Amino acid sequence: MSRAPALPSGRWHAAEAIPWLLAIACFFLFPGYRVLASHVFIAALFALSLDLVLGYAGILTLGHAAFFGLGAYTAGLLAAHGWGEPFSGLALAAAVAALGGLAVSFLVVRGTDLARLMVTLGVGLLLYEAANRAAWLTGGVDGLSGVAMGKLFGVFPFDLFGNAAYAYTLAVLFALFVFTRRVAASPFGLSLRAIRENRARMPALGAPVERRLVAAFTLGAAIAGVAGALLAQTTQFVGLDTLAFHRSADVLVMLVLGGAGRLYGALVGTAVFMVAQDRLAGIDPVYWQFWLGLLLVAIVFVARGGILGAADALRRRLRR
Amino acid sequence: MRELLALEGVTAGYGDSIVVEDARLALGEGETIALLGRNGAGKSTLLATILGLTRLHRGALRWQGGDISRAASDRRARAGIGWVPQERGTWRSLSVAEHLACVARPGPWSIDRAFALFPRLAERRRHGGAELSGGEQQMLAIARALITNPRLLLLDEPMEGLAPILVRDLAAVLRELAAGGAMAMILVEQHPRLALSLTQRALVMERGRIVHDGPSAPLLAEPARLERWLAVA
Repeated sequence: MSRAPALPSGRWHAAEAIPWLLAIACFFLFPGYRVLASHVFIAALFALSLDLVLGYAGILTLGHAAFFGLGAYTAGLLAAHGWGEPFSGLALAAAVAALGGLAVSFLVVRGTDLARLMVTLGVGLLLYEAANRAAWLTGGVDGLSGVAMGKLFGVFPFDLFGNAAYAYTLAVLFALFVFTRRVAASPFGLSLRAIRENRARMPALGAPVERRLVAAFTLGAAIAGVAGALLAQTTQFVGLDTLAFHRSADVLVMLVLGGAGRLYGALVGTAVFMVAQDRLAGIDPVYWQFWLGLLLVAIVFVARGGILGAADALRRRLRR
Repeated sequence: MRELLALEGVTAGYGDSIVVEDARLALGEGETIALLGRNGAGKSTLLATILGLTRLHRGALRWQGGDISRAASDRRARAGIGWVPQERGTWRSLSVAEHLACVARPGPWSIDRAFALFPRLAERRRHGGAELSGGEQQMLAIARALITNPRLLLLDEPMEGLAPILVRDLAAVLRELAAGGAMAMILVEQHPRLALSLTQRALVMERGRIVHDGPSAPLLAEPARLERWLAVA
């Protein structure tokens, strides 16, 4: 007897504790990698935000870094101008990224997939160039320095070893994961999946399709903004690469690698991508992207639904 | 009987083409109608027009006294028009329970009541739309429309392609719904006798026009008249 794909339902499964316990264990097991780990958590949050937009709402985007960068510059600029309190910085970054997302969403919800790709790509490039030109504000190619962060809860300073950053980024990732999971299991989240599968059917069932897509895109942008803000705050620097095209492409790769539309795919894909990048670059510094590309092509052709999709298929076959 | 839906000289179709011409109809609260006609007579298009899924060329639609001629489909649905489409339109990756949770709106129909009406769906509540049989998909399409708590339910050939035993079960369900009197119904059906036995009133369409509007019972007693409208020419 086969079942619907293992998507997160309202109730938590015991196995869902595993990634979080692993993340906590890594703090003690690999003390030398805490800075890298905090970058993984930030990328995972970014991939999670894309999952809402692409995996659930089915909106193809090649410019998601625009919102990551908006969040990063917002948090960075706040801290550089004397507002170093981290949590309010995150909130403001989310708000600015959400506004950006809302504005762009009206351009994407009506279009076809191709139009969406072009619009998001264009917006991403536009914002990158704008940040480059506005060097008086952003520091241009030199990046925004002088980001002076306050202490977490006024007690824990952001240290060079990434101890505070590790705890901070993991806690924010977890909180927003719980939130996103609730959204995904809500009637709103279900309707996004229904729209993705059969958009024409939804209006006659009472769902305002465009408004739902606007909401999903805006929410995804806000969470991407938080991810960007986390990077700005923990590294106390904002570079132009927060807005770069490769960041939009990388996050897409991470999500597809892990499996889109299942939330945990964002975590798994990011971890595999970033650890593989770190390892492969060590083994084969010149050609590591070759191996990564091979892995990606293999995943898309051999395992539909990414790593988690393959795991699902395997589990179903074993049960039979 | 209070007026629920009125069509006033509605001419509609897809793009520039005209499929339904000058349709006039007044439907009261809780009234049940069989919509009959040959293939291509415009029955499905008339339902789609009520939902706002076609292009309205002329005429107007009133819903509970208010003009809805320009209202978007999702507004009409939320105002109380439910639809069971011919092609069922179940979602592959959503489970049965998710299909219902996704569109549920407050009212007398809860998910539990829908499951009580279709015990088979309750058994399959965790199965994905892609794993359901044709009959189960049809039940799900009806349950999904009911859970939006409509004042008017539009059913487009719900029995099509179902095994005789399922047709009998589904007919019993529709009879139960019709007898409730709380919900109006327009039933498009290829089996005229079945449709007439389930409804109070019958409309016959021919080449996009409504050519007959009267009570169902007399038509059931006069197969020859029905034959003339419905037989393949």
